[in-house]
Formats: sequence, C-alpha cells, structure tokens
Amino acid sequence: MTEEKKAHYGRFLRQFRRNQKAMIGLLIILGLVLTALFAPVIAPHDPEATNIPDRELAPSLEHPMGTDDLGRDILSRVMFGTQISLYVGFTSISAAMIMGTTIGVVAGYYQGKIDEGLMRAMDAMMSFPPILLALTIVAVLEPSLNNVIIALALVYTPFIARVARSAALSVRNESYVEAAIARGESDRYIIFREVLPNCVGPLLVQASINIAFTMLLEASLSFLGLGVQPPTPSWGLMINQGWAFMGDAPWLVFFPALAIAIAVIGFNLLGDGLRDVLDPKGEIIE
Amino acid sequence: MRSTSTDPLLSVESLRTEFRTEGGTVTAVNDVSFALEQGEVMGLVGESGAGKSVTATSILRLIPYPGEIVSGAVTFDGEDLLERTEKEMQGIRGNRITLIPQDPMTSLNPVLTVGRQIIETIRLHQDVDKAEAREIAIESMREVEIPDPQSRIDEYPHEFSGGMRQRVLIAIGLACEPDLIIADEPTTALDVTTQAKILELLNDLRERRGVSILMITHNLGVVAQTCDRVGVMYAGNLIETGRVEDVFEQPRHPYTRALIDSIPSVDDDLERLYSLPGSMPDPKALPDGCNFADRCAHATEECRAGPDPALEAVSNRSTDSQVACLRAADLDLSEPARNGTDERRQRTTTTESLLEVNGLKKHFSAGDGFFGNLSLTRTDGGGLSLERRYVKAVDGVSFTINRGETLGLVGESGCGKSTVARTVMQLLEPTDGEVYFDGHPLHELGSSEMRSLRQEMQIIFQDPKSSLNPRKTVGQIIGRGMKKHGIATGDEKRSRIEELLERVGLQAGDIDKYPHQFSGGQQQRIAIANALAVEPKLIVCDEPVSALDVSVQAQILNLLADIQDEFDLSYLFISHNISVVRHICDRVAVMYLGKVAELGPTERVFSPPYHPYTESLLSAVPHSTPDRQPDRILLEGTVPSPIDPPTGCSFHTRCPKKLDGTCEREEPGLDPIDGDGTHQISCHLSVDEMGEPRTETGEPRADP
Repeated sequence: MTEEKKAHYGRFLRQFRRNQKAMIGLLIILGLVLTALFAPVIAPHDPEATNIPDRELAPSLEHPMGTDDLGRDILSRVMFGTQISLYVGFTSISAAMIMGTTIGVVAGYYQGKIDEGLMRAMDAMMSFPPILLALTIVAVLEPSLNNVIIALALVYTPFIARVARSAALSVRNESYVEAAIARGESDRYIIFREVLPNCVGPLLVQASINIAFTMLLEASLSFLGLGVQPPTPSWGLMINQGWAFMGDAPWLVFFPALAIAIAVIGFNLLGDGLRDVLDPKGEIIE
Repeated sequence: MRSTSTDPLLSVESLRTEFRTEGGTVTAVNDVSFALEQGEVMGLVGESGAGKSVTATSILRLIPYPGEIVSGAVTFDGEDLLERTEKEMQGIRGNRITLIPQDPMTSLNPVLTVGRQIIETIRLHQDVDKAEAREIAIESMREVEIPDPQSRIDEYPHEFSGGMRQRVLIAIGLACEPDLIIADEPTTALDVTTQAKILELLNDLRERRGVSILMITHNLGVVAQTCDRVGVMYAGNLIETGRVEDVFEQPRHPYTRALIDSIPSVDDDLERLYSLPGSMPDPKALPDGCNFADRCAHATEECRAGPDPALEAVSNRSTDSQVACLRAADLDLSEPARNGTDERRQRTTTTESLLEVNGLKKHFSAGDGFFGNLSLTRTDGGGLSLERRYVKAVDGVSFTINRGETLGLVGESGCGKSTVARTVMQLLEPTDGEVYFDGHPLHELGSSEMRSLRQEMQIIFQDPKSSLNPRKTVGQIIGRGMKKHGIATGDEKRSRIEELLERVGLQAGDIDKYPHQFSGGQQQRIAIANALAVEPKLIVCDEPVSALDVSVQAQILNLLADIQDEFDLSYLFISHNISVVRHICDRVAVMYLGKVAELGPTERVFSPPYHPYTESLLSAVPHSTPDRQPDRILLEGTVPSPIDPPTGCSFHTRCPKKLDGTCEREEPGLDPIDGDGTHQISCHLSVDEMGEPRTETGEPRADP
C-alpha cells in the first residue's frame, strides 16, 4: 500500500514542482509562515514599544521601513502582523471549510428538498457583499479577534459550500456510490467515506484562493476599527492608523499594504497552481 | 467531380502517427498502408486503441495535439494530402472528403437550426446563393429519407431523434457531393433497430451515388453487412486486409480468427465463448516482433523477435488478401477455434423461486422541482385543467427468477430495463407493485431490515471505471463489504480477498493496487469479485459487458457463467445486446416502453412464434456472416414518449402486423401461448399469425 501511495504522491509532487505558479506561491507562503513563527526572534525592535522622539522617521538602516506616529518600528510591526493575518486566515478558512463542505456535500448527496433548502440559505448569505455581512456580524458580536474569525468563517462558508455541492453532485452519479447503497452502507458512511474524499481537489483550490480574501477582509475590518484592537499589530489596523499621515509619511501605509498584497498574491498563485495540477485533464485524478 | 483514372481514389502508404506524451511516445498508427477504389466500401475494424480512428483523422489531417503524422503518404485522387497547406485542406474537408461522426447527440450545434448547419457547409464550399443552398439542403435531407424536409429544415436538433440526427449529419456530409465519406463508428451510439435503418441508408447511398466509404467500426456485424473489403487493425498495425467474404470465411491472421470467434451469435448455441487471453499491449511499451504474439496460440520464438511483420500477399491463395503474420502460409484458420462443445450449456435450475416481481411500477415526475411537472391541458369539455405529468419508466412489470437461473432483460435504450433493476434492488423506491426476495416482501421492509438483506443481492455496473472508488485500493473496496456484513476480518479477510482475486482471473498481489492501474476488463473483474465478496444469492448485471471490447467481453461472459455454477448464483442480466443475452440467459424478458412484451425460455423467445417487436429486434442485429443478407424488418418512426404512451398496445404505432382497431384500443395481456405457460406474449395476434413470416411488402395488414 505504501509503495502505491508513494507513486501516486510522487506524481503529484512532480507535477506540482513543474508548475511555476504553485511553486512561487508556496515559496511566498513559506516565507510568511517562517516570519510569523520567528517574529519574536528576528524582529529588530519591540513592536509595541513607543518612542515619541523617533516618531515618523523615514526608512533608514536602523528602521528599514521607518517608524509610525508613536515611534514604533514598522518592520517589526509588519512581522508581528504576519502572525495575526495568517492566524485569522487559517482559522477562519478552516472553520469555513468544515461548515461549507458539510453543507455542500450533504446538499449534493441528498438533492431535492434538502438541497434546495440549504443552497437557498447559502444564496441568501452570498447576496450580501462580504464586507457588509462581516461588518454586521462583528457589530452584533462586538469587535474582537475571535469574533472577526467567526464572522469571516460565516462569510466564506457559502463559497466553499457551492464548490463542495457541485463536486458532490458529480460524484453522486458515480456507480461506486450506488454500489455502496446496494451494499447497505449508512448515509453517513457514504457521504464521508465515499463522496467526500473524491471532492477534495476542487475544495483545496477554493480554500487557498479564499484564504487570500479572508486576509483582505480582516485587514478591511481592522482598518474600519472593528477588527483587531490596538495596540496589537495588524496590517489593516496599521493602514488605518497611518492613513492620517499619508502626506508626510507614506511609508506608514505603504509597507503594511505591500505585506497584504504579497500575502494575497502568494495564496492566489498557490490556488491557481493547485487548480492546474489537480485538473482532471492532468494526470493526478484518473 | 473527380478526374477519371485507374488509380485508387485513396491510397495510404506507410502512414505513421505518433503522440508524444509525458509518459513516452505512443505510436498510434504504425506503418499502415491500404488503398480504396472509387465506389468501394472499406471497413477498418479493431478494438479500442487499435488505431483505427487515428488512421481516419490522419487522412483528414485532424490529429489533435500532441499527435503528429511522422511519415508516410496519403494520396487522394492523385494528390498527396500531407503536402497540402492547411488552407487547401479546408477546401477538401467537408467538400471532397466528409466525416460522419460517432455521436449524433453532441455533433450538432443545439442553438442553430439543422438547415443552417447544412447550408453553412454548402455555402462554404460551393458558389451558390442562400436560396440555392437551401434547395440543395432540402434535396440532401430528402436523399437521407428525412420525412417532410421542407418544414423540418427549420427545426432545431433537439426536435430530432438520435437516428434522425445521424441522418442530418449524413445529409451534411452528402451536401457537397463528396468522393469519399469517412464514417467513424456511425451507428455505435444508436439502438439496433435504428442502426439497421442507418446501415440500410448507407448501402442505398453507395449504390445510388457510387460514393466511396471508409467505415470505422468495432462491430464485425456492421462490416459484414456493409463493406466490400475490410482491414483489421491491432495495436497500431494493419494486420490483415482482404475482401470481406475471404476474411470472414478464411481469416489468415490468428487475431482476426479470434475476433470472429469471440462474438456470441444470435443463432449459435455455444457452451463457452472462445476468448483470447490477456488484452492489447500498452502502446507505450510494445513488444518486439509481432504485437499479437503474447496472446497468440500459434506464436513461435521467431514471432517474438525483430520488427513487426510486414503486410504481405498470401502466396497460396488466389484472392488479393494481405496479412501481417510470419506463419500465415502454414496456418489453416478456416475452422473456428472453440473451447467446449457446440452444445448449449447444460444447466440444472430449480423451480424454487428466489425473486418474484408483481406489477412493478416506477413513475418519475416529469420536469424539475415541485411545479415542474405541472402541465396545462384542455379537457374535452373545453375547460382548462392542471395535470401532473409522469414519465412512466416502468409500467407494470411482473416476472420471477428461480434459484440458479439467469433471466435476461432486453430492450432498446429508454425501455426501462435499468429502472427495473434499480427498483427491484430498492435503490429506487417503486411507485407500485410487489417485490419478494427469498420470501421477504422488500416493498414492505424498513430501511434497517433492507440494509441487512442487501448482502444477498449485489449489482455489477456497465462502466467498471465508475463502479470502483478511485481513492481506495482494491483490497479496501472488496474488504469493505466483508467487514460490513461480518463475513471476515483481519488476516482472514485478506486471504479471502486474495482468493477471490485469483478466482476472477487477477493476481493476489493486486490487492494493494488502485483501480486506475487496471484495464477496463480487469476493473470489471474487480467489480465481480466485489459483488461475490458478500456471498450474495442474486447478482443484478446492468449491461456488464457493453463498455468492453469483444475479446474481453467473451472473457467476462465466461467468467460470469463459471462463477454462477460455482457459487450457486441467480442473475438478472440486463443488456441491449441480443446476442449476449441469448448466449448467457436461461429465460428472457423483452421490454418495450416500460412493459414486458414477451417472456419465456431463451430458445423459445428467439424462435417463432414471436412478438412482432422481438421479431424486428432479432432481424435488426447485423450478422457477422457476410453472405447472409437478412430480411430486415425496419420499424417505422421512433419509440413514443413514456410520458404519453400510446393507447392500447404501446407498440401499435410501429408494429408491422398491427390489427386496425383492436390494437389501438385494447391493451393486450401477457398471455401464455404454450401448454405449460412458460412462454408468454403480450399481443392480440393469434399464435399462428405470430409464427408466420411477415408479409412481403412490410405494409400493415388491412384485415384482422
């Protein structure tokens, strides 16, 4: 069994390595993860230490990205901000995956009334602009990091559910599902052991693209003051606070914005690359 | 059109087409040479992967990426097509050489009227205005016998049936008066009665127009009924060519012989089918010497070395046959190879019934959703009424299957045979009717009782690839049923799986492989092992060999027959292929439009007296003996919609023996026509009338 799995896996890796988009995306994300993990070690300054005399310093050797209006080192703050962004991104998308996949696969498997009911509810959620829905949820729950994660997970559940449903619909028509029913399997076994493993490809792609959006949305919420609360460094919050000083000290906004852009590009590239690699016309799904 | 000359219309010389894929170079067509005379019909036969379609697309220079014609010459009417520019080829394709594609359902653009699609082709190649092109289009539609072409020309493809769409495609092909028609499996996607009509049309056209046809097919019956000459392909090589009669009566290549012997015939009773061992070699790793040597009973050491044998004329024969076999001169292959006797398999079946189905009905709601099946109709009184519409897929079917017996369900697509199988197994909930399995009333059981009974009845599907979960190993797939029903666990389970794999002709070591590592025939063996794993009493076989090549089909049919005796199984065997049903079934039910038209022991159903539908089905099967031109009964029109089935006998709209009056009004019952009541026919005709051959003209008879 292990031999076989190795061969299967080896082919996937070969294809993945040959895909430039996926590799660049993966490198960017690896860089971000390392930064987040080792931020306390590699950050040159304490991200929360204010130093009023050194406020709004332009980028220099001492402060490669300059300092903000309270004299805090922006490079250090961006590094620590990576922790928040990745944490929010991964946790919220994981929660969205669990909810969305369950809803989507159940809807796709049962079809009929259950499908109609679940998917119309998802459509209703999708009809709100994501930012508006997230704002409403956070406003109701009161702003905090955990509530931001809950809001983001809820906002992105329907996107995952739609992909999961369409994948489940096509797997539902395969004879091996009918064979499982004919064998007397329970619905739960069929949904989670027969249908779900065959829907993983498109779901992975959807998740890695959506994680970029959740990071953007987290930044937006923080920018609006409803996300992470100061003095915790978050990219969105940094842009929010630097906004007032755009004219004199553009680096206050530029560097956190650049960090967001890089992270979003990284996840998008990985998602696009994964889609190419996992494409049914490619070799991996046979 | 064509300059008169004595040269052949088309000659292909040493054509070689390769596909450069990631896994290596695949030589799809390997040194193929043949010639086609003006007015001749040549067949190219072979199993899937033999290279016949690639040969055809190479002639048209339509090889998709990453394919490439590496060497050779294709001379058409004196010019080498491989030297033409793409622009010049566009002037030839669809004009002088046309292609009739395989699947009529997807080959027409659904948003354009059929007229526009024909006219477009005409105006592309001929300098005529719209009105003239329309005239030509109507004329060619008339030529392919589409009724009422003036009005049907403005209809959309979805308003045509499958057979009619294939006619439209032929009309498009004919509109520019081509010299050569390449027909790529033109009838594979069609039912036998429709196939018979299309083959008849192609034969007519060839006589009227003198057009040459290159017929690509896997069906030897089609070749025998339409072609003058035939080329047999195997793993990229053309291995035998010759006149159809010569090749069928005295094949010179062992593969040709095996191919002919593997096909169950409608009128032979064989104990076992001849079957070739193994399957076609991997095109990426062809063996040295003859590609067929590994499966050939006559192969010697010489065959397994050196290059592929060349296609050469047979020295000791007067015919123009050519064969690519080193031993052609020493072998006499005029007698069919057989294993077993010519006797029909002697079966002892009990009269104890295992499955009993009474008045089974399954109606699907027509249209989507809650309101989708509502339709507004005007009643006789003139008022409007709202009606729910249902597709009556199965409409009152009764039969029994005894222990150890095989019951066949035959019929054309849409007759409800697969729905019967799924409803019997309670995979679909029946609308009405009773199903007793081994004494248990399945229609009354709760879901948990049903689940434990499922162990006793298993199903084998048409598409073996789709019936195995690609993410599980063979051992996990087969072992699941054993674990689920508490038959075996742990090491015992593993050794049982290995035993089963060996029993169905695989190796014990295959237990840890994934389904995609097997060929189609091997996957079907895994599916059979999977069904056997839970020790069932009944196996429903839903078209188990339709997706397989003929040589593999014979292996699977033999395997099914062997395990039946060994494990004391009953089969409900569903197939559209009458020859296969005749070969394997003890009793047969012929279905038409959701009802059973005829039911009885196989030999009695397939001999007079017949239900008129059975008779026409039998006559439509193309025989693989070229000298036999059967008296075909071509059915009028198409199968009516199961939403509004005809009144009375549902077959009366197409029946060549219809009695005016009675058949439209009264529905015939399924009545016994012989003493012991085992042979039942649902028809108003008397037994004598059903027995006599149909009137010469084929006209409906006026007097009852």
